[in-house]
Amino acid sequence: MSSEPLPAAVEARGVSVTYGTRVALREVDLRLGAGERVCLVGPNGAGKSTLVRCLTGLVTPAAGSVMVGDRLVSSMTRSDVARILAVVPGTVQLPFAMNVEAVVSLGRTPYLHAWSGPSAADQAAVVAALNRVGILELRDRDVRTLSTGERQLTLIAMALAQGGTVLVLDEPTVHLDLRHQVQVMELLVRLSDVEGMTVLAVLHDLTLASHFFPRLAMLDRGRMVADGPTAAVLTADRVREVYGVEPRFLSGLAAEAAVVVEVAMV
Amino acid sequence: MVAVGGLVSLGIVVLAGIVLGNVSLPVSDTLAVLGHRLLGLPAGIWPASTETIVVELRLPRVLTAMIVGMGLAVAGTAFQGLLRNPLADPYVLGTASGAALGAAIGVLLPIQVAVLGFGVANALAFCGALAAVAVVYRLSRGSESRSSILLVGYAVGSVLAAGLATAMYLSGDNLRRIVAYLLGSFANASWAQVVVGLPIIVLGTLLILSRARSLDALLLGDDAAAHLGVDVRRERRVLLALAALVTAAAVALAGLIGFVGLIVPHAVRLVVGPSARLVLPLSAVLGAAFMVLADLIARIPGELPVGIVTALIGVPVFLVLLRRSPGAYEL
Repeated sequence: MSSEPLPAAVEARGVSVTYGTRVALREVDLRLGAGERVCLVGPNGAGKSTLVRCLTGLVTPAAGSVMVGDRLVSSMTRSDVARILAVVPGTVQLPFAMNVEAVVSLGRTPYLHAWSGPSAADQAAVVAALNRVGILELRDRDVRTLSTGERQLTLIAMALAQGGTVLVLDEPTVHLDLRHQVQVMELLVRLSDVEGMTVLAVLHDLTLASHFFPRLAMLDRGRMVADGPTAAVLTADRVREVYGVEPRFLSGLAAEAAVVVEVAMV
Repeated sequence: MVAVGGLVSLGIVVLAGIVLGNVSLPVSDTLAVLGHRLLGLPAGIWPASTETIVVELRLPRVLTAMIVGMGLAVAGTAFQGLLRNPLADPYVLGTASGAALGAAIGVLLPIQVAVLGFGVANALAFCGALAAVAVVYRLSRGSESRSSILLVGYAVGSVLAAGLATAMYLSGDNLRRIVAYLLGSFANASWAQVVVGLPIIVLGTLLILSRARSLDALLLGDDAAAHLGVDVRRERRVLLALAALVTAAAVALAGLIGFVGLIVPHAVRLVVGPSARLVLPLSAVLGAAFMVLADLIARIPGELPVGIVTALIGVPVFLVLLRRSPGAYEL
């Protein structure tokens, strides 16, 4: 990284969250520079989803602050946030008789007015989003007939139609086969490297994370235990300590970082 | 195209609703009277009785049926979308029991005054429906799940239904009037009722229509809707209040007419899909047309309660639609 830090697209400072008596997050910092691609990892219950909900303003932290762009997220309306930051929902079912284009059009919700339908600009943004994800040919398909992978791409297109600069994905590859996992990951790489979007993805798969993300942030029991270049974060000791499994690494593959290929219980 | 078809069928049933009845009127005279009174066309020659029947009896009745049908269908669409429950209808959150209990108390009260065509029973039905939703909303606040508001609605509705049963048990000779209210009717429609009811229902309907984009985003669930820029808590509160207001006005005008608010939105979705931007206005038109038709059918054998007709005709039609619809159906 250069010595001049990128302007922050999203920044959490000293964020703490408690649910009842359970502490979900304890003084967590996370700064996403504009155009960065960061992967948030950690075991179940580490607080990944809570942190994402703080960053998007759905959860108000008990202490600390979250900035989206140069504003406090708590001072913004939901539409303000949605025009900058889009979230790809992890497990949304699409059981409606809607076509792909109609679902992607929902991404224009923050721009719609009470009485007018979608404008020409809205329609152009929808087509552009379908193109960026590469599913323009699916536009007339009933979403109920889509495969899981196509459905995930539709939801990403919906998020892109929001026209923001930050994309947050909660486990975007869960239930996807290998080809679709790689397709989604390569899409995220293109969005950040080529289009300059800021991307934050929550992943369970450390192999995908190490392969496609230059920076990892690792949460464990509500604390940020590591945040930095992937190779520095993903050490055998840390995986053993945080996940309680014995990792085995293969290096020298196409990826710069090591790849976790096999694990055994500690 | 669906919208045009809906409006044309609404026009046809409205005309039929004015022309047909105890005394059937010639279509030409009816149109001439309507043209004269509504559009200021020059007066023609027609029997004075025709003008009286059209203007004083049939027109207010048809208008009342239209706004009640429209209001119930739009409120039903809103409740189904908000609660994401296909079984939701305008009466789901205790409005029906609240209105019925209010009306029963109104029937039993020794003092009977009527203002603008509204008796004590109408007024108490309106208040009962709104009060029931307010109580349900207060009791379920703080809980995030949709099931809890449905369960609270069911619980409050059950308590109110027990109150209604008590009132009916103690009502003696007035039981028939309470039962008549429960089944719904437009027999007492008047211009005064239209003047009071129409602004409430039309305004409430328009305000619900203006929030179609929130209902659309809510199709994906609360979190996804929030990420799409919808203030979920505020929108839910506002839409619940508007739908409850429209429902309360409808039941105050015509009693408890079932199935319209449940079935019309589903029938529309089967044709045009789930987008609230389409479903809300089309439900408004179809609900109005269906209610005018149901009232017309109820008049033919001599004032059958219209709630019986909506169930007897609406449900089979709906089941046929459901069987014919391609693929699985979801909200």
